[in-house]
Amino acid sequence: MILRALLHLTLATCRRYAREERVLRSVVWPIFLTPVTLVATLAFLTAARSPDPTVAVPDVTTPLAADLAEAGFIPVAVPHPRDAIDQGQTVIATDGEVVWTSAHSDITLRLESAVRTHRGSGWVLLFQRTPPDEQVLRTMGGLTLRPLAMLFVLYALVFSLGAISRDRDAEILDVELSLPLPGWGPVLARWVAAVLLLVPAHGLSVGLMQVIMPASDPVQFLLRGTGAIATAAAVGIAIAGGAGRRQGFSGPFAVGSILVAGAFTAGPLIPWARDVLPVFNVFTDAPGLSSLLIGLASGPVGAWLHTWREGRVR
Amino acid sequence: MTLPLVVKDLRKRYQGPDGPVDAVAGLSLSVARGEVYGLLGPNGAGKTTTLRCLATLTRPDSGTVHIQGVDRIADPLGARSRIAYVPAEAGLPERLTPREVVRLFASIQGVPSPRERAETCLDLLSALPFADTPCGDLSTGMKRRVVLARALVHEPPLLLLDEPTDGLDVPGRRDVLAVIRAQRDAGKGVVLSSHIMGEVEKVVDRVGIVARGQLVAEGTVREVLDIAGAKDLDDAFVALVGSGAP
Repeated sequence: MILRALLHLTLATCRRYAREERVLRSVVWPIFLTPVTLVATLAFLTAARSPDPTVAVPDVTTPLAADLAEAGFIPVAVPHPRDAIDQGQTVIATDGEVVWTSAHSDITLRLESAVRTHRGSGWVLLFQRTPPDEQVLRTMGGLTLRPLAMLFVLYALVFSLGAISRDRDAEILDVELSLPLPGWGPVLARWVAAVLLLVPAHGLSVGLMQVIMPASDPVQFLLRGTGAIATAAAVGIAIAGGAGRRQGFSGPFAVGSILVAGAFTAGPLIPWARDVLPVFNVFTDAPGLSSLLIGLASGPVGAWLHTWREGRVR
Repeated sequence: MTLPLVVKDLRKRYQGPDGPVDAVAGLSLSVARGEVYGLLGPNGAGKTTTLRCLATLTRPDSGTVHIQGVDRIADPLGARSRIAYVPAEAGLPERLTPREVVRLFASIQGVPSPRERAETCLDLLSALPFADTPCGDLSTGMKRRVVLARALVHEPPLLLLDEPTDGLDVPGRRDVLAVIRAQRDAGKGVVLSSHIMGEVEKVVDRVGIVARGQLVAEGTVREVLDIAGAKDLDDAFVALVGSGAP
């Protein structure tokens, strides 16, 4: 009877959240925020790493200029190539004997190689950049998934805390607490609904990231992320004992933020916590199963703590 | 016959900024079947705290509350299944429709055939025309009808109504009072808190006037008027609790 009632309440809470535009909007933006940020960052880095291959030379009609053009450079004539560097007109310059550069990138090596080839040097620098191997790329992909999980963890905290305080202010929670259910029931229903909403959003976000920059073993990221989201939502409902009408939102939110941020920070420093506890292991490569299980168990604990803090012993 | 509500020496103390505050200080009352009991008092007198204690939302420090014979402390779930609490705010989720809300409460209360019962209650409160409109789009009067439909869905022996006509226009108030009378005629016990004396006079069988968490007068409207030596409840109220804050 009670389980069935809790199921009805949980489904109704899910339905409410699914219909609330502000809830959907607030879930959609974190899904796309990190992938879009990553793409923008990659685009910026690509642009920054490939400066204009313009090279300042004394004369564009010389064989040097022709050889440089053949090597992919765009020769431009300046009276004094070195001055072009000093004045910031180009980042590379040569008169066929000396190479001047203000760039710290591959383009300098490419220019040296082209000049040596032109001069028939005794040795030639054969410059070739090897693209990063897949393992490196997957490691980088994993590095980007960690802040993604952190984003959702913080959001889970805000979401569950806000759901409780908002419903308390509207007296929706009071009405549900006067139903023949255990006091933790309506609170647990909100935790379940928050997890059901946020975990798929996190999964979708991880999926998008996998398309852009695949990470090794994304399943572990999903497990750790799910456990951390569930735990953060549980922290949110646990600290929301007085949030809303009487206490406002900011005090409990500050407490929750400190708890979660502390776990993020302390996690990599405490081996046993890093290996086992959700939220603590968001920035690690620890196996995710224990995190998931503990995270799923945290909901009832958070609901009970909420009831206890609220001072209702039923 | 077991009374819908028996309260004895109810006490609740809060920690205020200037020290402990006795929100409810030894309040006793009872409500019979088919009786509407008006809990009157100025703001801060302890009406809402009393109702929250009765609705099992706030645990009293001491005293006993029996709802149709069920001890509110020993068996809170049993007590809750025998009450319907209607707070001053509607307490309706904005994006659910009245039909969904009333069905949900019927299901949670374990009502047989919750769909049919929900339709009956919505019809009783003339809420069917807007039963599929999201609650957030309803007027105050419409919301009040839905809230009452939700409260009646499991036919509780005791209704706890906190300012049930607050914010309603005249037709809305009349409708709500008619529903309260109908529940009384059906043998239910009703406790309503209000500070609108005129409407209370029209519907209550007995009143209890609360000040500083205590009952300062109780009886029928006539009896309270005699105690206060007043012509109407407004005058009686002022005579008994004073015109200032509690």
